[in-house]
Amino acid sequence: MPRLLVIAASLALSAAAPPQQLPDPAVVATVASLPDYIPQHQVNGTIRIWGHGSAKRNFMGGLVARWADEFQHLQPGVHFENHLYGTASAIGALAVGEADMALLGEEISPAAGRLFHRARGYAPTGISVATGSLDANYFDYAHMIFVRRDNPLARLTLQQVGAIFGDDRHCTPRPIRTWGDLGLKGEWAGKPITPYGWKTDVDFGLFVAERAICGSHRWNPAMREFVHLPQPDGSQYDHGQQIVDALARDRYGIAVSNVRYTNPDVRPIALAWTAKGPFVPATNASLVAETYPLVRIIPVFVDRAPGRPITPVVAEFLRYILSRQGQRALIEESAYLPLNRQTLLHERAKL
Amino acid sequence: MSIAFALAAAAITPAPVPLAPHVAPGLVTIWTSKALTPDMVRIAHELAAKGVHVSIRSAGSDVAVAGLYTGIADVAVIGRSATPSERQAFEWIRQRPPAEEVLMHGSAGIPAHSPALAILVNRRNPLAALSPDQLMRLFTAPAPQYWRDYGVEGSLAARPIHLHMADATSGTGRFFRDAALGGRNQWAWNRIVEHGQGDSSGRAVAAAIAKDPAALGIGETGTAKGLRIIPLRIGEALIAPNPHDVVIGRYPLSRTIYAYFDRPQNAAVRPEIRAFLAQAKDDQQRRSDGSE
Repeated sequence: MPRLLVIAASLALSAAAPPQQLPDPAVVATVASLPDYIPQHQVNGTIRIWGHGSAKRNFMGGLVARWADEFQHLQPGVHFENHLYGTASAIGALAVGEADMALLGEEISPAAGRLFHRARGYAPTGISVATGSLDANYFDYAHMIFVRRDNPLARLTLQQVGAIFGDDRHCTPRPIRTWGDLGLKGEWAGKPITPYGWKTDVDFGLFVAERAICGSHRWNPAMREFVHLPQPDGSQYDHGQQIVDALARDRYGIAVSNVRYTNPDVRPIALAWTAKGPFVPATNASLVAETYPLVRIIPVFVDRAPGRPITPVVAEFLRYILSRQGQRALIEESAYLPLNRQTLLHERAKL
Repeated sequence: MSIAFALAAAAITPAPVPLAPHVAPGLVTIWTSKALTPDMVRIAHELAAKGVHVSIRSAGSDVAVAGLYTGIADVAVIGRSATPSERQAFEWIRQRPPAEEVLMHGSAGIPAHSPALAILVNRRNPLAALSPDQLMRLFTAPAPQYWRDYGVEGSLAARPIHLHMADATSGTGRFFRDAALGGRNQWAWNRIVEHGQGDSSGRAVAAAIAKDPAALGIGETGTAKGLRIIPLRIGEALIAPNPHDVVIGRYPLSRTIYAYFDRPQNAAVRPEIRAFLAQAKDDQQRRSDGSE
């Protein structure tokens, strides 16, 4: 009963969180398969959490409050400080000693990794805690590759994505520049491919570079980049929407965006990690299983000096997040997806 | 159960707490790069005589900005402009952008002291000058570029141009992109060789050009021994990275030292910070004749 009261209290606190759809039954089943949180140690102290969130849009407040309340119910000596101002400040705060945990809303950027290393002399330790959503804004949606609906291309490997969007010969020795390079025949064969996508040197672009272009910044020079555009009525024309709209006007284009922006003239194509497959569309199930290669995996970073353990209070809280209870809170209080059992156990082993 | 009970039971505030900067009266905390530390120490000595004490941390530019947005540092002094991500970090915490002031000029060519970028060619290459448009075309045009397209005659004329520079994501690379390419990310990678990050990249660029008459590189005058430094043609003028044109900001590829700090809304900047900024600008003014 006490736990129910605490959960109810946290639900009241999470009123600012976006309304959630009922979780996918397959996702619920994944969570049910995860191990329970069993405290290994009784711990005390304050955990200063920096990272993904916003003072203006409190999309993370409900989740973090639920995590903190449930954990504190079992570990009453632990207190929390909420510094979820946004991912941009999280690794910096960890590096200068102001944060105990950096909860990111994306993969760590190369610049953030260099900053931490310069400050501390070693790399930050990353622990995966969630799978990015299929299509929910602020919850690190997966990236999809789109072509025009009349394009016969059926599927791509991750390496082919890199060869289309990148220009790094160490990563993909043979760049793909025409539709014939992908095996299309007839009128398509000699037509150059025009790639459309996010601005290449910021968050979304950095993710695609990390996953598909071996972390290189050498993008295809033909890349057409898009950024959010403010509209006269105060609304915003999202970069992802502009990308898909531009693709709809270009029969020979290819685009990276998200299905939340799709239109009737384009379609997402199936992807695979390697030519052996499986080639899968992005779905909740393929994201959780990590069979879809442009899935986002959300990390927490902590400061662990070489040869030293993670601070016990932080390790214990991460052990809770990486449990059935923590992942259930995740799917009920946010649009994130849970980690699959194999990944979760792998991450727990780091603690 | 009432909402009041729920709030009392909360283990964490539901929204991020406002950040309180670490403030000590009479003290200004400066985080900066190793290269700029001697300048900061000199300014600190001058300020001490005026009753303002300066704490300096030689942290590196990126760490310095982190010190600022986490409220530990009062001022971040760095040899480049803040990146969009660094500005975002500050703004999302304070709900306002960081204040930015130009503090001093970079050097004309001293490695690691925010040197101006120099366009370098092999001593056997007769290239006379480049316009800013030509420089942009060299690094971005998709088609191959030949020396004859840039007025070079003789045996080099028909040879393709090979380009060398620091890693494009380094501070030097980003500065070059912003100053010379208008911030574009569409680089002609098939003719560009990158030479890493940090102070060694300038020496590596120079070494590559010394071996190849068909090469052109973006480096520094301080590591250009045995190479030719190509001036930029701005209108009728040919402008090279000499100390005078760098200090007055006439040479387009000269760098700037910036101070970033918090300017609170409806409140004055702390007097210790104002005193530091004034002292630094006074110091720059007195040294503007330059000894390079």
